[in-house]
Amino acid sequence: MKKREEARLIHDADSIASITGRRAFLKAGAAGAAGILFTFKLQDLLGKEGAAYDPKGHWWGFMVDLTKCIGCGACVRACKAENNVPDGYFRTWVERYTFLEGGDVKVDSPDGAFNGFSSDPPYDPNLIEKSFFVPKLCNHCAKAPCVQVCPVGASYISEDGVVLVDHKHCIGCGYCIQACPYGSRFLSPEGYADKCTLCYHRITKGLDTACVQACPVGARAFGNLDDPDSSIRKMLGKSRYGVLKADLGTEPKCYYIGLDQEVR
Amino acid sequence: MSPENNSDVGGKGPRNGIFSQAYSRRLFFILAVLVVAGLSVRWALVPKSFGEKGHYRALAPLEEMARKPLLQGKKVCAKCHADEFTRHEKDIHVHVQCEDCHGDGSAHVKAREAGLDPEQAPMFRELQQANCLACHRRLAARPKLFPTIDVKEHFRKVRVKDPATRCQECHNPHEPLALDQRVSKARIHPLIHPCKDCHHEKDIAKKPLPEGHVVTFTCKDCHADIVADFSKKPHAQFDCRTCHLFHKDSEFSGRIFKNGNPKFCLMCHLDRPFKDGDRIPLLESFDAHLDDVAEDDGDRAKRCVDCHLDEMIHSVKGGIGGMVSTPEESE
Repeated sequence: MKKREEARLIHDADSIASITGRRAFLKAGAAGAAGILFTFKLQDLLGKEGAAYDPKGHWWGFMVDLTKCIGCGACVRACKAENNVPDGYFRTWVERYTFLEGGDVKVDSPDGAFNGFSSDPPYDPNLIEKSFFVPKLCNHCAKAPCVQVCPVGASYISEDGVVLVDHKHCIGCGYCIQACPYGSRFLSPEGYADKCTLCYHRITKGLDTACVQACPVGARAFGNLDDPDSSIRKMLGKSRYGVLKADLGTEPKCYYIGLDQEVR
Repeated sequence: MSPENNSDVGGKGPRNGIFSQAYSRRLFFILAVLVVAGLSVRWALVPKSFGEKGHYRALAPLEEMARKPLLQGKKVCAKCHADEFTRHEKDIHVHVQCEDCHGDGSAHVKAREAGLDPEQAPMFRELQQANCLACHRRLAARPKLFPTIDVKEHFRKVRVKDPATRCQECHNPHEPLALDQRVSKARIHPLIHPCKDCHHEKDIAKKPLPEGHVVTFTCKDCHADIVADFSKKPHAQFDCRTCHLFHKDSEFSGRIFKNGNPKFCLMCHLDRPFKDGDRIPLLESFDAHLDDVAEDDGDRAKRCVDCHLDEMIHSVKGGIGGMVSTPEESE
């Protein structure tokens, strides 16, 4: 356990230090601090794999097959482990929709389904018409409202279509959290806005995202929407899918197979 | 401009006042200070590489990219744990990653790579019911084709006395079904049966469906003889799906595998303290049983179903039009 903690601390130390640095600068108004903050060498930042990746020709998208999801929460646990997401915050979570007789729709997600679902919801089983799980995450919208409202340019869409937050530049104003219609963002305890990065550090190295890798039933998938031969394009090509809140015009790139119209 | 200023310049006229040297110098100075202040604030606040690719710091995605992945993936585990991996790859849990049950393996792998004892960073090994039930608990929201259980009901069915019995006593998580791969590949079965599968009349597909004709097929619609026979056998309490995997409704032709592997039968029939021996025939071990009954080496190579199929489970001699074959044929 201790080893694991250490590994995480080392890997996060850099970003934390610079964030506290930024706060100090803003408070004191000392101009010099900024110069120190941004003296990075490109080569230090890039691993060997990172250098080989070319964002051009990529346009990442995500896909969830709701007919397969069993609500085990493996994705939530994997995401938390991979990205060191603090307790009580979620980059991805699983909701359970329960349709009761008479038209009532109940949604629950105990602890974001970090431990899965330990029982049926407290309704008479005979009254439950249908029920299913809906994993949620950032939709990586092509017209992301969260990016538009950022006053400092810390929220951005990368060249390959991933909505990311520049933790070092974010001032933690929370506008983007208000703007996201999907509730995918949160203000991390360290003071910056945080969200799903589509495991940018993994996908650019040719790995699966943590949640896709962890899903035991293959309900999650991601891929390059620009490549007509990619598995996601092929799967979408033969499936009936929908996106969340299409009417808002955010052009989300998270596609749901077997989506019910009640899911928001 | 204040009224006092106007009175000061007096005779020179109001136009001269604004453009006098002193004023323009002061104005220029203020502007210069503003511009310099603006530029330096901008220099301080706008980070390097900002705006090179868009309205963001061009280095930010590269920094994000440079993070080290933590979760390892099962191929990394396979490098050292080849035995478990091989068994795991053959069985139904093939898509379940090692780290789904054992937790993040980065520290464990790191210890190994550093030449340390990997036991210094042990993996999660709690064999509790709750861990299996995270996926296999029966919930209204779970897809119907996914195998789920209600623990009480399951224990009643398989005659387990102790309610705290751990799943791992019978089910090895690395090979939960002990699938017999030889048979599994032999049976490809159409899900949506054409009419001619059951009816031999000519042009049957063009005739209207008679009232009361099944639309959603169950096993007995096509395998009536087997199902009728099965209901009289000692295993009648079990669903067909206990041993056969259903056709999947997402496929046109679903596969049915069959468990001919003794390990599968022994999940119930091996003598263990928590089992109710009065109600379920128990073997000390498979080898001991072979010692009792085998007449030659050929017999020793047999699987449970080779001898017990008709007697204990169900007859395979019924069925329709070649859809059902004996295990010998299908291999």
